[in-house]
Amino acid sequence: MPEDEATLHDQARSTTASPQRGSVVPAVAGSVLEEGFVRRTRALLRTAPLHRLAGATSWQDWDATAYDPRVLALAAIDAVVARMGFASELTYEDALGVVAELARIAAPERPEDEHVKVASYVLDGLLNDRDRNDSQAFSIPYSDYRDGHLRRDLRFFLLVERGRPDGRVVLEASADAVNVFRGGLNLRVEDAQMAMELVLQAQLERGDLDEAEVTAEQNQRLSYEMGAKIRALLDATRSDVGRVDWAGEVLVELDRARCHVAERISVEEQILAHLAAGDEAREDEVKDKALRVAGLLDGCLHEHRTLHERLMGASDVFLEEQCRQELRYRGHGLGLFSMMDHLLSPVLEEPRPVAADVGGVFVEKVLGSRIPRVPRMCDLVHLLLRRREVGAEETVEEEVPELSEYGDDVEAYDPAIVEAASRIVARSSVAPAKLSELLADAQAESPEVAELVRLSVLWAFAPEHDDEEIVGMAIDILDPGVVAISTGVVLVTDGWTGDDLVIGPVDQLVAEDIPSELDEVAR
Amino acid sequence: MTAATEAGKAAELIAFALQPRLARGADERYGELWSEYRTDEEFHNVVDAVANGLGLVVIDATEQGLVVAPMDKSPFAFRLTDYAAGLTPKRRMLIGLAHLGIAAVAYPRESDLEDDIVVRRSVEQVERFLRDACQALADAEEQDSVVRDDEETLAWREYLSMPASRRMAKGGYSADCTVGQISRAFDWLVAQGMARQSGDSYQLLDRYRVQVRELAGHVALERLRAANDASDIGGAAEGAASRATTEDVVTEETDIYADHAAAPEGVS
Repeated sequence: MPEDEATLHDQARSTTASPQRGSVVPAVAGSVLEEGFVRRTRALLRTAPLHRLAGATSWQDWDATAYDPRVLALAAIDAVVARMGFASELTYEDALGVVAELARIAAPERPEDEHVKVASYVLDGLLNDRDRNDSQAFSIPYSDYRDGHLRRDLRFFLLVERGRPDGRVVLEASADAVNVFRGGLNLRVEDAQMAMELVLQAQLERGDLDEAEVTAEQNQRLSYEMGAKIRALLDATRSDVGRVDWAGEVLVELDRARCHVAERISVEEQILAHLAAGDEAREDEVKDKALRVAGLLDGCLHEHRTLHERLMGASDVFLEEQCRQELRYRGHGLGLFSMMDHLLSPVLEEPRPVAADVGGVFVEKVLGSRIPRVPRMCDLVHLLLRRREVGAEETVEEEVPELSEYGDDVEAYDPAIVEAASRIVARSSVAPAKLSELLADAQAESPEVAELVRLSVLWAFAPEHDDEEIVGMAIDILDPGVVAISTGVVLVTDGWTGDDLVIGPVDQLVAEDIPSELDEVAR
Repeated sequence: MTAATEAGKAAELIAFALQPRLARGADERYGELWSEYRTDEEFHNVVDAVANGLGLVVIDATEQGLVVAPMDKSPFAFRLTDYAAGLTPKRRMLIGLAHLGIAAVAYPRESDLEDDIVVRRSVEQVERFLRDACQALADAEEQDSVVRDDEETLAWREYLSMPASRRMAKGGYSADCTVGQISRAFDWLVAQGMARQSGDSYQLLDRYRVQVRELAGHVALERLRAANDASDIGGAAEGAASRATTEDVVTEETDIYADHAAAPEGVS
């Protein structure tokens, strides 16, 4: 892997290009000029989100003293890493369950929904999702003294969600997260793994199978870490050939990685052979342990072989991607764009026709394709008989002034009338009431109150989905939890006639339970 | 392998791609054809050609499947009339802003469009984001000593004039509030295989990012540029130009099926 990660996918970008030359770093602090110092700084920064998690709990509506968000976060990363690359990769919900369970153990006396809240606080923090209207990536500024003084931004991820070929969306730990988790912040991955293998070999030679199992597990995690790095490198190539220094460093790095992986494969094969050789002589209990170690090593070997294959094909990836990317739109001089700065902000400042137009084409393109549908025969009569609105209304709409634009809504009821009508229909949300009774009360107030009551009850009985705008006011006054049912008695009043209705809470009038819909309304 | 069988396979793959909620791993045959598309250049070319003949462009082959987008005159092209019938200009603008808002809150910066990850966003988050952006423009205007006598209603002003949420008796939100339009927008994205609902938020999938990055964003940017170029020429020309482009979008053969598909499945 590259010595200076800044040149690759970590994307340290200089923010203020004002190196102050001439100023001399104190000799005793000379380490700030070293490559290793910058690497340590960058490693340290990657733990910042965990500390921020622990520090920001006062904003939450749960008592944070019982929980340790840092440990929960580390445990969450651990759990995700433990399943990476397997068919049983953790989804967000899985991880939520795991962390919530840890929270429950920490504070069993607290309510269950609080454990879930704590868990989602931790996971959202690691995903960098919590109430942010910004990039998903963490971006933390730091000082780089190597060339005078530069402020740089370190951009990285800890946990991310990714789509899998079978349609699942699962959690994945970035290489950065594996680093934080592993704790050996300034070590090179390859070196650590080499060391781990030596330890493993020594342990096996001594017959310390318990130790060997632990070491093999750690070795496996390291394999994933390296896998993540190499994949990130290949993905960086895939996302933009131009961004990767392919001709120079990358090819050298890939070559080194290929050698390293080949070496790991051979060492792992040796250890496996060693394990197999001693198999006959061992007792049953020891045999089991040996088998487990062998299983873990097999996993590493498999991971390494996959990586090796990918690395062998790496130059092909480059050529393929170059070809593919040339065909993209950005190849035609348009370049990448910022949804916020280039599109949304300017559109907000445009007059309505332009905004509607730009937004319109965006919607049409972003929603992809539509498969033309054939209507069902049973709908055909209805479709043929209904008033034709499509098209006709669309073409004349530019000339139709919208009344609501001119201050008050002319069709709106006077607030006093709305209040009176609300008061009258309010009793239906407590106990069933007849429409005729409600109307009698309303008529006593004024004919307009009666009209509003009649409209709102009518809406509850038979909602007109096409007329939201007209009934907007009427529906607002009626409790969403009430239903209207016909009594069968004919009600005759001035100007109109129909069945008398009984209006009341749904649980009192309707036998079947339909809580799911009601819950949605209540939300 | 004859040309006919190759074409048949290509059409089969495109048929899979036209079911955006189907992931390639969920169907063995889809997975097979998808791999062949990625590895066999000849098949790749056949698929692209067959797609083009249908008025489609293959814009990417992500891990989850092939992403095809309809060209303008394609029978598969999505129209605003598929979204809702009889839209008022105001409502149409609001729908556009809701979708632009979702994309902007998901990928605010250029680099965000390149991160191969699933982003999670909620209706409230998008509404707050849009409202804050509009409010910032309103504040800037107040500080501006020059009084602008804009006859036309600017988009941000209209957005601010809309209530954030208005509930309906039948449940859900009215189409006449911003939260209502944003949640409808998310529902559409779910129905079109661009997003998945997860608890109170939505996971925006690879397909969505590709669609924004490769297609929708550029088309919208071009349209925006065209509108601004027209306004540079002169005020009179602007009206004509924006009307012309608007008609371009609206002109639609009256379609007996359009209403039938007016809401994504499961959206009331």
